[in-house]
Order: sequence, then structure tokens, then C-alpha cells
Amino acid sequence: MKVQANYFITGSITLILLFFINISLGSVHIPLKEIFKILSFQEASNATWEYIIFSYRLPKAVTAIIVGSGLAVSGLLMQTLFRNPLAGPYVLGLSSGASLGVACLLMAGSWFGSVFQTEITSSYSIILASSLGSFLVLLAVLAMAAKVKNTMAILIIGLMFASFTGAVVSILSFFSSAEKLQQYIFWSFGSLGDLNWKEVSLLSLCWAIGLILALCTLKNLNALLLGESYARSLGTKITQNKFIIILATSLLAGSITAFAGPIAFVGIAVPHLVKVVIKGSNHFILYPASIMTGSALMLICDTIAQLPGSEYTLPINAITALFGAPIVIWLLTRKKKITL
Amino acid sequence: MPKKTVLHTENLSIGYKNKKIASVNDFFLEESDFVAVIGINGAGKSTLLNTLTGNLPPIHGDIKINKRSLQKFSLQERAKEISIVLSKTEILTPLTVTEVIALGRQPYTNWIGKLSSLDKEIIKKSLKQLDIEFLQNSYCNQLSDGQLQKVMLARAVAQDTSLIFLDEPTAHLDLYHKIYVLKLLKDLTKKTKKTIVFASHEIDLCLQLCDKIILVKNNQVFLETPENLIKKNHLSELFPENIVKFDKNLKKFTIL
Repeated sequence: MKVQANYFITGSITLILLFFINISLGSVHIPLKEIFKILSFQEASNATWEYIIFSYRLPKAVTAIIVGSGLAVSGLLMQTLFRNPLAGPYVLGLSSGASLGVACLLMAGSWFGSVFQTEITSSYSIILASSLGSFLVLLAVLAMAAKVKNTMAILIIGLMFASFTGAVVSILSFFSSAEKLQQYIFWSFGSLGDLNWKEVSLLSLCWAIGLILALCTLKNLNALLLGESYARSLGTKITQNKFIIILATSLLAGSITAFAGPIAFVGIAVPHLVKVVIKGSNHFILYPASIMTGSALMLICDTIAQLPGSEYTLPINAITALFGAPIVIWLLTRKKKITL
Repeated sequence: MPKKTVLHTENLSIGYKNKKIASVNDFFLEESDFVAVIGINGAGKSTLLNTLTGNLPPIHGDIKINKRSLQKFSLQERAKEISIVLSKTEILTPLTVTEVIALGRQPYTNWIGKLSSLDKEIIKKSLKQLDIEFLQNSYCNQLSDGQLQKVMLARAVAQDTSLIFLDEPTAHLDLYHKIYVLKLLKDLTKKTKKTIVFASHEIDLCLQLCDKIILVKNNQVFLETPENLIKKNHLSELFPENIVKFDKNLKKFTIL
């Protein structure tokens, strides 16, 4: 109990600190005093700074929080549903679906003449293509989930979807121009900074619905820790619960992938991190802890990715894995048994 | 005062959609009955338990729990009448004994699973009834098979149902613990007035300890007292007679 209380207190203070650090660092140096002024809606001494904070850094920080927490929660849901520590938000093939959508748009799209060219590469059409891709995969997975009773079969079906779409993307890449290929690769690096407020609010709507749906399944997730037979004997509606979990994950991971690209690693790593530190399996504790830790981790990764003081931004996808993977390996080697 | 009937069957046939396994002679289970389900491998013990717990719809006939048809129970209502303990439980996560037992209160708690003071009292009581209070803060993935079995049983007791079904509760235990668990179960039926039904291969032990025995044999299911089961020669034909034979006087199987 005490560990948990400490975790939440230190966690929330760290989160607030990280949020301010994230906003105050970037390619343009803005004095801390000015940042506080701007955030409290006072006149800043430089209008450009105000613009940078409100139109670039603030939406980016909010996106980081949404992405980190959303992926962490969907990873948690998947790990418990599939009773598999390797499951993550993308096991259902959502990111592959999104990749396929974007690949089709960028690479196959160019075959249909240059008429649409300018339209095609705008950020909105990428979001649309990516959502459409994940949505189609989601429909396929949900249809399978309704038909196939075995939870493990769904996991394998998700992996097969990923292989299948991966193959299609490979074929598309083989036939496309270097320029288009580069564009696709840049998308697959992931990016938190390209969203305006309108897009951020749309993303946060999906995020909020996803989190609420996830909240409704927490009691059942606890029962599922004993396996499906016990869960059913405790009154859990297994199929309905599975449906809600898949829907919540798809909403969270799907919308995040659409707006920020496929962000690897956070979804698998954060639930592990949380479980190691808290040493418990009660989802009513793991859920808020995952939200907090996911947000914090994403803010750190984003702060590093933008290489404060320089004008370069590293691919966020590389940073999450580069810094996160060693941490998880370190945490897991410290204890004897891998837990779900 | 006559004992209360908890479960009875009416013209029941069990099996799967296109394969009937057995027809069941109507039987009654009363409160604090300690009942074993016996039969050779593949006879349909699991099918019977699955049907009686409502996980498998009967192909014909009806099961009544407290005079109400099992099919009419919602999942949650059923969870208040029937609890189960499986032969092998795998807990992969760090869950404490108290947390696992608390899960038994799920049918009674609200959507965030908040435990009332009554719930907490019942959890404490079931820890005590199975004599595992000293384990209450241990993690389940560090317990022995026998201890874990007791924890799962305590969870079923905390679920506060009139019936507890167990699938081969003694399968992974040595002889001492087999007898220990069966006596514990019997004790529980007398202390809590719950009806306990379990599938078992320990026929010798069941004959000595159980109030009633359900025999699954040759596509037939019927309930008898242990004495009648022996008297009517039902056990002598249970296994093919060239290897093992039932000795009526010793009340056990002997090797030929």
C-alpha cells in the first residue's frame, strides 16, 4: 500500500515537472520566466515566443501525454487479455493496418497520376489513410473475435494480419520512387509535433472514449488474472468483455497511430515497468499508474528527441526504444520470474 | 427437519450438439452433501460437471438450483449459487492470497469492485476456515500446489454459493494431502452447509468419505450412497475385469 501511495505522489510531481521541462526546452531558447508568463496568459516580451509555445510546444506536450498514456493502457489491456507479457497495443495488427493505409496512399497513390499529388501528401490525407487502414483491420479482428472463441487464436490472427500487410507494404515499396519511399519511412518514424489544436482535440476525444471503455473493464480484467474459466464462474461475460477491450485498444492505439505514426515500445514497456515497481496485479492500481508512467516516459523521450538547443528532431520511435529497452531489460534481470 | 434440496435434475441428457454422452437418472443433492463424481477416463465426468455448472447447455431436460431452472439464471446470479475450483490453477501475476480470495466477492461488488465491511469479514472468515491465515500476505506464485489449492478453495468459499464444484481437487497431491484435502472438504460441508461436488479418481477414498456418489458409466449417470453402490455391484463392472477387480469385503480395488 505504501509503495503504491509513494508511487502516485512522486509520479504526479515528476509528471508536472516533466511537462514544464518539455515545454521549456526546444530549438529556440525561451527564458523560463517568459514561459510562465505565457502559460498564465500574460503578455510575453516576444510575440514569436508566444506563438512557439501555444502553437507548437504545448500541443506537442499534450500529444506526448495522450500518446504515452493511451499506448500504455492499451498495452496493459492486451497483456492481461492474452495472458502474455509480450502482448502490446499493436498485437492486433492495428499499426500494420495503418502502415498499409499510408503506404497505399503515398506509394500506390502516385501511380494514379499527378493530378491528386498535392492533395495526397497533405497531413490530413495521411491521417485519413492511416485511420482507414487501422479501422479495416479492426473490423476484421472484431469479426474474427466474434467468430473465434479462443483468445489465443485472436492473438495469432493479429500476427498474421501484420505479416500480410507487411508483405503488401514491401511490394509497394519495391515499386515506388525513392522520394515516396522516404516519405513513408519518415511517417513510420512517428512524430508528435505535427498536430494543430484541432487535431489534438480530435485525438483527445478518441483517447478519452478509449480510456473510459478501458475503465469499465478493470473489474473483469482482475477476474481474468485467474483465467477465463474462473472469470466466467465469477460472473464475467467473457465475450462481451473481450469485445470492449478490443474496441478500447483499437480506439486508443488506432487514433494514436493515425495522428502520430506507429510509436513502438511504449505500449509493451510501460505496463512491465509499472508492475515491477508496484509489485501487484490489481488493475485499479495498474491503470492509473500506467497512464501516469506512460505520459512521463513519452514526455522524457520527446524532450530528448528534439535535442534541446539544436534545430534537429530525432525520430521519436528511435528514442522510445533506445532509452526504454535497456530500462526494461535492467528491471527484468533484477528479478527472477517474469510476470505478466 | 428434512434437509433442503439444493440441486435436482429432471430428465437430463448431457453431451454436445451432435453427440449425446449420457442420460442422467433424476437425482437430488441436499445441503451439506459431500458428493463425488466417479467414472473411468472419458466416461463424461467433465461433461457432467460442465453441464451442472451451466457452462454447457443440456441437450435435454433441466437442472434446477433451489427449484429454479439453471438456464434462467443470469451469469451474475449463477455466480452467487455456483463456484468452481479447477484441478490446476495457473496464476502468472503477483497476486496475494487475500487478493485472490477477494476476487471471490466479485459477484457482490459494484463496478469498481469495492469491498464492503461485510465482504472483508467474509474474506477473513474463509481464510480462517481453511486455516491459511498465515499465508494471507504471501504471493500466490510462490505457494506449493497444496497451498494454492487451499487458496482457490477459500476463494470459492468466499464466493458464498450453495454449491461448490471441484474438478479433481486431489490430482496433484500426495496420498497424505489427498486425504487431508478430502477431509477438509467434508468438514467444510458440515460447517458451512454448502454442497460440495467433485470429480475424482480416488474411488477408495470417496467410498469412505462421501455421503453420495455419482457414477458415470456406460452412457448412464446415477446417484447412489456408497453402501448401495457396493451392494448393487456397480463398482465391480467399472473397469475391464482382466486387470483390476473390486473387492466387496475390503471395499477397495485389488490388482489381479
